[in-house]
Amino acid sequence: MASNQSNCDESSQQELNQLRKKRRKSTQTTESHLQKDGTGEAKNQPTVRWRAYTARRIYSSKLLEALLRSRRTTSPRGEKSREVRETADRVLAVAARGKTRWSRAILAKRARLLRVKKVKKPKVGCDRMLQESEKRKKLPAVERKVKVLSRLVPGCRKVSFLNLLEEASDYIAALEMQVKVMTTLSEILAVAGGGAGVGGGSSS
Amino acid sequence: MDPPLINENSFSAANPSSYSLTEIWPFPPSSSTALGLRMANLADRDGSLDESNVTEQSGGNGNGNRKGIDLSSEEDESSKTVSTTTSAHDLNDLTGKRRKISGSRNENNESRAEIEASSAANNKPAEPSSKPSEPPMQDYIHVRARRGQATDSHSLAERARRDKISERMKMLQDLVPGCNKVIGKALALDEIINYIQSLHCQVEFLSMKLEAVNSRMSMSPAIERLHPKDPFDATGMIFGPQPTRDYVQGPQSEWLHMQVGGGFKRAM
Repeated sequence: MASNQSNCDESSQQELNQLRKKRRKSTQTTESHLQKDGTGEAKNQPTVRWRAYTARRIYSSKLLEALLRSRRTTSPRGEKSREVRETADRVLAVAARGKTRWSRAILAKRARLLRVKKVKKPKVGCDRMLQESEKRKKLPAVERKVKVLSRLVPGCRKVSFLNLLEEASDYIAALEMQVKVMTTLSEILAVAGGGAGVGGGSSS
Repeated sequence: MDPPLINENSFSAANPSSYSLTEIWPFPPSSSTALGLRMANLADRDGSLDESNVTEQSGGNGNGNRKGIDLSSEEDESSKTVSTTTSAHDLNDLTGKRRKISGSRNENNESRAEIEASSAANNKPAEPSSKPSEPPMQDYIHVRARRGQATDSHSLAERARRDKISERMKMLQDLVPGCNKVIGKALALDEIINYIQSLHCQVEFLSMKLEAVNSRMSMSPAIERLHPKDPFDATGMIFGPQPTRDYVQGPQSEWLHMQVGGGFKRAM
């Protein structure tokens, strides 16, 4: 069994290496192509950052660790079933390495929750808002959508339009990567759970 | 719109060989003596370069002096650069020449230039190339203004900002599938918002799925041994052959099952 596993590991390692080489070539070509635009901009392009193979591997490994840890420690939790989502978001924010606003905001959310409980203040000037809604004062359509967008991207409520667009593009790339990793991870773990359960049952 | 026409008529025909950027206004000392000059060169006779030189010179009567010196004596076109950064046009060498020559102008133009700029800003900034504005100083970055566009510092800054915004919108449109066909900021933003919301929903769904898998895993402890190594190899083999750009729809379970099954056969 052990020898079989080591053989399999070697072959899979070789395949991995081949895949890694292919990935490196493709990312290098994209990076060199992007470098024509501006010096130092190549690595900052959101597509390059989040589509690289290394980013996926890092994220998947960290997510796995975090899930295992959270499963062990927080079993006596109430009805709040959003821990996996929040764990995934936090690991994604960590993978961003703090260069973007939304990642810092996600990490700050949890720190703030641990310290102080959220107290929602009633909005000041509520009457004014009612009056304006009566008058139907519509902001330009673009501005309304910008507001919605700023609410969707975490931590970007009072950010200028320009920076909001940049944060949004990075956030979208990160979310795409997150979805891909979580998809494959859930599939793997589902199969692994099924396979190991059967294997454990049959061996014992 | 009249003043530029007046001046344009006064020009002689442009030399097609000497492009839009040939020479500097050759009377530097006279420019310092409170003359408001205005020159607009029509450079795009060939049509290859779709920009003209907008040249301003502040003479100095403060408030938008419209006196134009008749340049019919001038055969060649002359031009001058105005503030702000260059775009992708490769006129750097010529602007370099201009900087040297214009640097030789005396600094009397400075104060007048500022007055001009402020007054020009107060007046309609959309008037194209009709206002005498500040002469290029060394600390200004020079740009070639496009034909029919204002060369105010404010409008130039606005234009730069708009260019940045459009560049970022294009980047976003590349990321969001289906956004290329949409024209306009509002509709594109709509698509982007929808896409982000759908990605959020997918993440929610997948987190629920992972949670279910987690709870199932906690029952059989044998899986924990596998984790440090196998998911990497399996994910490596799975991530490799995937195309880089694919619209992530709902759980693509059919072909993924095939890949996962294949991966696990090899890994085990």
